[in-house]
Amino acid sequence: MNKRFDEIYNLYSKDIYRLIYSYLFNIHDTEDVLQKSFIKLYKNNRILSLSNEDIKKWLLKISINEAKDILKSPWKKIITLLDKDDDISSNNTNSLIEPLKNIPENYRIPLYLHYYEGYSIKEIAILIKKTESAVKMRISRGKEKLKIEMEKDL
Amino acid sequence: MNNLEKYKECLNSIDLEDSRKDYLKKKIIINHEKKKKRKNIIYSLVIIFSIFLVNLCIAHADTIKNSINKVITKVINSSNSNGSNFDYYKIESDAIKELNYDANLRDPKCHKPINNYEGISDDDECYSLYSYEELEKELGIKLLKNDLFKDNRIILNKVSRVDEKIAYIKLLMPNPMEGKKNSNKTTDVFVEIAMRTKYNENKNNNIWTSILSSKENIREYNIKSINNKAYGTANNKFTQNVFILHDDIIYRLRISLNNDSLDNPDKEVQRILDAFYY
Repeated sequence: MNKRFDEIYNLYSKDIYRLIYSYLFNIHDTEDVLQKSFIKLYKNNRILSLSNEDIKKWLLKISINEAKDILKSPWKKIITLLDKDDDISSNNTNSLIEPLKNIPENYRIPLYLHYYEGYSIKEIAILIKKTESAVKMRISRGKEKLKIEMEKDL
Repeated sequence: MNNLEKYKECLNSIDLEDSRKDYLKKKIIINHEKKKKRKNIIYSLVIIFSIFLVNLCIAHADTIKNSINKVITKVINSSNSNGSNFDYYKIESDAIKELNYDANLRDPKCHKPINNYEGISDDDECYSLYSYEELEKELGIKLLKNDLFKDNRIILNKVSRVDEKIAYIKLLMPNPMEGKKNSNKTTDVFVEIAMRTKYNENKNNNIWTSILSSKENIREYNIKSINNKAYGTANNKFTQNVFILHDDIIYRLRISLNNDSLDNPDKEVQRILDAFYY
């Protein structure tokens, strides 16, 4: 089973990292979420015996929930400002992601799952536990916001 | 390049370096092992604590059961003169007291019935008189004392020895509350104190028994000051027998109630019991 875990980790750790970072924009929190999600997978024989695609969906679901928990925590709200300063100074090289930070939190995950990962609205609704119409609405508003931010960037 | 392509390009720039990826994997495995270990320790502690609690409850329940069993005994299939069978309950004690078995006590020279201190002087050799302090020092024990007792002299009524070791002692306090003789206005108490030691061989030394037709007739009192229970039985409307088993010594109080207490005898009994201290 350790082999299977290695396989899954090598396949999806970067995807999970990318999704969570594009939601939290904080390296430490992203790494925490990544670790927590994969600890849950480690030696979870029931999940590891599923197909790769199902495991990926499970990992996405778990990591989204973990990331949401981090944002909800009162401690996180207090240190957000400090964290932002720290993150900007340590990631000057990655100015490409700056426009993404202005997209509201609610739209970030549906946008990523739909446009980057290619999941359907129905699949996203299951993953983030929202109705299909809510997902559709978030994607369309997110796309509008994305357009504004990308054009601003130009 | 349209906006979505730009968006994807932005996301592509978010990358987890391979070295960092491997480091995080190691951390995941180490954390998992730590978590597993911690889980095992917590489970073990919970199990140990649960076993400890269960044992404590059993031990406590046994102590309570034993203390009650020491005092109340069911006598099955006793029959009365008409040949009918009844279940009788006895109040008694099997307690064994540890004391100074070689204590040099002044044995009583006579065994006349005693109802009061009247006619008993300190130098009367017939009755062996002691103070609390003298007895406690000689026997190496502690006795219950009572704030309501005005006369604290104790009569050594009986002492039995086996191979010169003390086997059984019976002490009396005939009227410690100094109730007036033949008066219904004062409550009189007659106290008997008995203790058996490991040398006791006389099975008839069953201390006191108070045979009752039903367990329901045994009243239970709590003595908060000494954290002990007392068991009471009524001889008649005016007299209550109360048994206290404390520190393996059994005390019987024969309480003759004053007229004012007849309506609520429990209150008067409880007043006397609450005055005990150790």
